[in-house]
Amino acid sequence: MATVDKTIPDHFRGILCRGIKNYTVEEEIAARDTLFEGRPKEELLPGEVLIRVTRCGICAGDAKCWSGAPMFWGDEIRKPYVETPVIPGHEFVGEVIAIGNKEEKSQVQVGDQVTAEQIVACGKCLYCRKGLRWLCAPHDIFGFHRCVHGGMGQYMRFPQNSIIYNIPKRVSPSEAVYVEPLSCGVHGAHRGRIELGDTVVVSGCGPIGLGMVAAAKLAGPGRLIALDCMDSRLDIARECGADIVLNPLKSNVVKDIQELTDGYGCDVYLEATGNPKSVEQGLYMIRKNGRFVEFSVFKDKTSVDWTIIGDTKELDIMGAHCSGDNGYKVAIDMILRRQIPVERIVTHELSLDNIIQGIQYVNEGKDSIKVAVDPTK
Amino acid sequence: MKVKAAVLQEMGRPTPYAKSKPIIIEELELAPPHDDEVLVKLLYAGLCHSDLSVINASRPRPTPMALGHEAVGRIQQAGKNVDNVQVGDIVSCVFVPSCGTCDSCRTGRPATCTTGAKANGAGLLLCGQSHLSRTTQVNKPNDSKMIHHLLGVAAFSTYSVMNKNSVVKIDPSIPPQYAAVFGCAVITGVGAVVNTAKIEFGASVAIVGLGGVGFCALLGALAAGASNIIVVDLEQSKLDLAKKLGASHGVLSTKDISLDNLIQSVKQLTQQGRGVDYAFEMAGSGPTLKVAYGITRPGGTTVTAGLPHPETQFSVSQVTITAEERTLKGSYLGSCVPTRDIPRYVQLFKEGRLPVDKLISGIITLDQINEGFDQLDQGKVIRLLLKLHDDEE
Repeated sequence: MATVDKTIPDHFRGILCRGIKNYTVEEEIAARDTLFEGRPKEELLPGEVLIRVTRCGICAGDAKCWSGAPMFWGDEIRKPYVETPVIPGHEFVGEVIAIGNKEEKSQVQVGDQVTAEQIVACGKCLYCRKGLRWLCAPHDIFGFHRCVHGGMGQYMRFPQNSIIYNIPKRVSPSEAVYVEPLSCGVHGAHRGRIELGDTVVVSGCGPIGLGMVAAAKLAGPGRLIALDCMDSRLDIARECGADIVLNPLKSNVVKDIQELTDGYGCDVYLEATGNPKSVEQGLYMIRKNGRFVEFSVFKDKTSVDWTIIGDTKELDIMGAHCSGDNGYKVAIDMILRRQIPVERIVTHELSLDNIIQGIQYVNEGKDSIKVAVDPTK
Repeated sequence: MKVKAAVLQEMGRPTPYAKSKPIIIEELELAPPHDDEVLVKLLYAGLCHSDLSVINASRPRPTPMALGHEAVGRIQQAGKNVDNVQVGDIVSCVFVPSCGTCDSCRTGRPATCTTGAKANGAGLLLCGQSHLSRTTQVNKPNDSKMIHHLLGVAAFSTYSVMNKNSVVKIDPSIPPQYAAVFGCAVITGVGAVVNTAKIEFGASVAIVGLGGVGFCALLGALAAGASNIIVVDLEQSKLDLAKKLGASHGVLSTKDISLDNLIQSVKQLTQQGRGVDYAFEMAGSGPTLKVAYGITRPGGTTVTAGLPHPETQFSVSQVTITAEERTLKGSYLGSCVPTRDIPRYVQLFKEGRLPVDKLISGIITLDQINEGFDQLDQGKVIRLLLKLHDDEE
């Protein structure tokens, strides 16, 4: 057992999710009850890591969870996913305070700036055994299950089977907080199997879509087109590498893409809006044998003539979830090489007191792109 | 019509070629094109190792043979069945005259066209004949008058007749000296990376052998988003150019280096020393393939576009193929569909994403061709271009 650095207090400040629309700032969260699951905090297991959190992003998933979305709280078909009370947040970055002793040399050291994969894979289920750890059945994602409290608080504990990534300190916390969403964008773009010279369309320029634009750019598309209904987001998409930006409210984008491609349609469509209209639009603008990637969480059901998938176009439809196998590695590399303007994407950094305001920014999606909390404020 | 062409008299003459003169510039009679053929006025042609391999007998072909297979030209005449190009078009030549009807062509793999391969092997055009003949006896009285065509193109000539499937129309706005390299180096090199291997952005890559094809593989890896690119060659100047173009690391090899030491030096530059996701062997020798295989990580893919002598065998540790679940893939013509990929890569060049102009080491004329092949043989140049005509509109 390791002795814990005395900078971990018994109580710390953080957000607690207690129920629907019930996220509160707590001044005295008991470390033992939360981070250590009832163990004395001195008993750090080998490979466990204690983190002082510097930033944590608010995901659209967090905002929908606060609102009461059935995918989190359950309905007639689905069991509840979130366990309360829990400290939310899975897009976190922080500094290592203490590490439980390990037989082998540890990958990280005290003082390092780190993040961990949002999912802590069990290693035993069907998906983990196939090497698809981001689809792990128990699906312990930080901030939703009580064995893995999240980053919207001053401290976190990474369990033994976390996958931890070092983020060099020349990346600031305000930039590093974007690593997780970017890792998802990377995975989505990988699923599209983009080939050099392809015509690629990304629909939806939120944090995930913009990450997909920047990641897709690396694959050398002949033309990279971004779609969004907000011109301000299209400007940022251009900065992320889009060659052409189009607003579906202002032009017939299906026709535009068909004209650009001699009537064939685009090779790849990456859908990141969660809007049924964008799904239909994509199915109409993609060419036969094209690759359609779906990443989003939807509010409303989508309805299309399913004939288009098979008989009309023989499409490859690929879902994408979380970060895949190497999303984090590529994302950190992209930020280090300045291949994406992170400062234009992380638009708000709020203190914990303003969590509800932050969630509202995300739900409205108008004046913000990526909103983060700063537990040090 | 009369043409001036670089004709290989016999294979296997010794270096330096400036002295042994295996190639003689001959005046030949070129028969007019048949209905499926075109007459091409050649503008620039590249000196490629595949031409050199015929000269040094490592890739034996029937002689005497008019060499050259990588070129850009202008269509002067077109047979009545020619539907893909017309007179005046600027075209890139392709070294497999894909027939369009065999199983390979019909399944989207024109590089392995069986009819084309047969014609190429015989040194004839797809029609089964040669269109080149000597007007006078060169050596002895019973020497053949017929001259073979290299790969259906025979581009080291002022004019050549080719099957219509040996040419792809390209954008006339790019300078012809840059257009010349697309027919071989570019599609072979870039294609190995983006078609044969289909690397994902973020992958780690190694390229062994920085000739014209190896450099194009580098450009392909850069364009397709490889994150760690290691290049290996015998010439420091080539490694330096590769790093200027964006390669992450250059590893200098020597003719008598221990292969194991070389493999270790490369692996140290990879994540956890495991090796690269994709290694490309672009030099065509047993040792380079051994190195490329050795620097590939377990589960990774080794791609070879090298063309050694037909009797060359290669050896790798057989157990590693199984125990490390390796993949070894051959890449011919960059697994390209030339009619699709040549225009695609020309467009990327126009946009500055495939700077193939950086590969041109110099321009020579027909009378300097033996010297040109000496330079290529010594590994000193990437791509030398032959200029066949004076500048004109």
